[in-house]
Amino acid sequence: MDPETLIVDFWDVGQGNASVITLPDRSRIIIDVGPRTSPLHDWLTLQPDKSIWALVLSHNHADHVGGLPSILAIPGLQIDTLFMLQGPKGGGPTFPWILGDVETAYKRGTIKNVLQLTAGQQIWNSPDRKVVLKIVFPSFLPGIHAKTQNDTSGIVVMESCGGGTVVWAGDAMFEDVCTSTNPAHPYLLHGPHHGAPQDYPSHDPKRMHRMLRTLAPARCHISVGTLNTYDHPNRKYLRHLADSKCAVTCNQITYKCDPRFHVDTPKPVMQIHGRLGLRPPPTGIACRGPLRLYVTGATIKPDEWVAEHREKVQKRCGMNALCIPTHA
Amino acid sequence: MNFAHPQDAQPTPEVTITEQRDAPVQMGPFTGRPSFIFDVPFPQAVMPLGEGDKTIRLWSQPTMRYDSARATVELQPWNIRLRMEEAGNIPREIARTFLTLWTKAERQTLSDPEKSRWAEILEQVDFQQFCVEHAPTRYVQGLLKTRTSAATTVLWQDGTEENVTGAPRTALDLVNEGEAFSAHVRFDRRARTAEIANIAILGDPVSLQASGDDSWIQKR
Repeated sequence: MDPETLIVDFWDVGQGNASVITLPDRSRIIIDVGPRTSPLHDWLTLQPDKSIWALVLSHNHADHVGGLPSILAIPGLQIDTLFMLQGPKGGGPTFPWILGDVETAYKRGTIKNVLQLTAGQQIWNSPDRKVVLKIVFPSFLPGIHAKTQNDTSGIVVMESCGGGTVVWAGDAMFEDVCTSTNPAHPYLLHGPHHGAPQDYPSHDPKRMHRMLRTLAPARCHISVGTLNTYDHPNRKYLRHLADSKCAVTCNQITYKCDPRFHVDTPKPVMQIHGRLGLRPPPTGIACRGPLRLYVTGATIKPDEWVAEHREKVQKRCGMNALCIPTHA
Repeated sequence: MNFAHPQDAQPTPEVTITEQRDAPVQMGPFTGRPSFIFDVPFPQAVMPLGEGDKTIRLWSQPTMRYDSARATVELQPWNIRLRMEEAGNIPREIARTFLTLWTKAERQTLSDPEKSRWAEILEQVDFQQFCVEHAPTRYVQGLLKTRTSAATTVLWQDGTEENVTGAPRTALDLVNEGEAFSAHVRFDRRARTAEIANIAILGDPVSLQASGDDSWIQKR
């Protein structure tokens, strides 16, 4: 493997998001940490080097930041910069607790810098500037994206000169993903909103489909939990992606793909967590589990189990699998 | 969801004789023993680790190959070969092999042959259950909302509410209703609290909140 390669792991944390980017110097950037039960905590606890270059929290919902207090309490953890939004404020007493933990960690020096997540910030770039990781949404400038600070989700983009882009869409609106991702046709779109964009389908489905065709991601990885109570993912959204030749994968299987999962054994489709040296979440049944990308300035490549997973999911779920195109 | 393990009910193992490599039996005095290779499904689905509170559970039965000529027993894909009289050590060897490869996988030090063996082994093991049992405890904060004779309701700091029952509930006896506490917890396969340790009483939850004026964001 090229020593300049970045390893991007989209973790399976059940219903929630967590990604770890391992930089060429072995330090890490983490984008979201997953829910309270996130296996990222167990993995980080046992890592000999616990330094984190940047921790980016796309927004402050429990399935994206719920594991933060546990992670901040890991002995020896060092975070250079934490990027986060300032809200929500109206969510009861619990979120201020998490903010309180951030404040405590900042005061004791576990976190060196705390920055507000806002478009235009560059999180990391390679020395030759061929790979750049930056925040593209939200912008709080009036008249551009006049959203409140409390009710939005950040979008992070990794640009590889020759390989394309990887988009972490968090729980952002699909329209915001389309308008802030430039150029279109990302190599991988992560999300948004666990495969059920909140504005999809909108009052104007044709417009949404047009936008989806314009965005045209080559791959889409959905972080959805088997036991989620929100009816995620959106069947139409996934079918639409799959039918437009986008390679769709989900970390966990849901009843929409495997209607008999609740009576059959909870055997996962694949256990890629173990193969990658990562850990699974305590709940849910893995479908793809985590996804790993190898990113250089010239290429982006997925791990070697793409074909095997496709074969296994087809064998288990047949045409019920939302990632299989209807014309396949 | 039914989490009963398929291997909990064991079918009767079927023995197959796959090969007979011996020469025809010679007349006269007996000089060697007949050689057979038996393939037998390994019947044990749960391998205890240490004191038995942690386990390795298998989804499917690996095949044990008895070689009577060499007096050995071999387990694939685990790559375990033992003398026949040591066959009772197979569960221990399975556990040792699994732990060795798992540690290497987490440290990213698997060689290429080990990688492919690890992938095959993972297909047979309930890795999720193993990781749940091997998870270190984690620091959390919560607010004890109510306590009834059946359950204790806790509001965890991420906003989720849980009715804690069983042994972990006893650990919360020291905390009063309306009090905040911190603890180290471990979760079970349903993300419920399975173990609570090191409880510290934090008192009034208001005192735990951030300063509230957003000023911390500008403190950098």
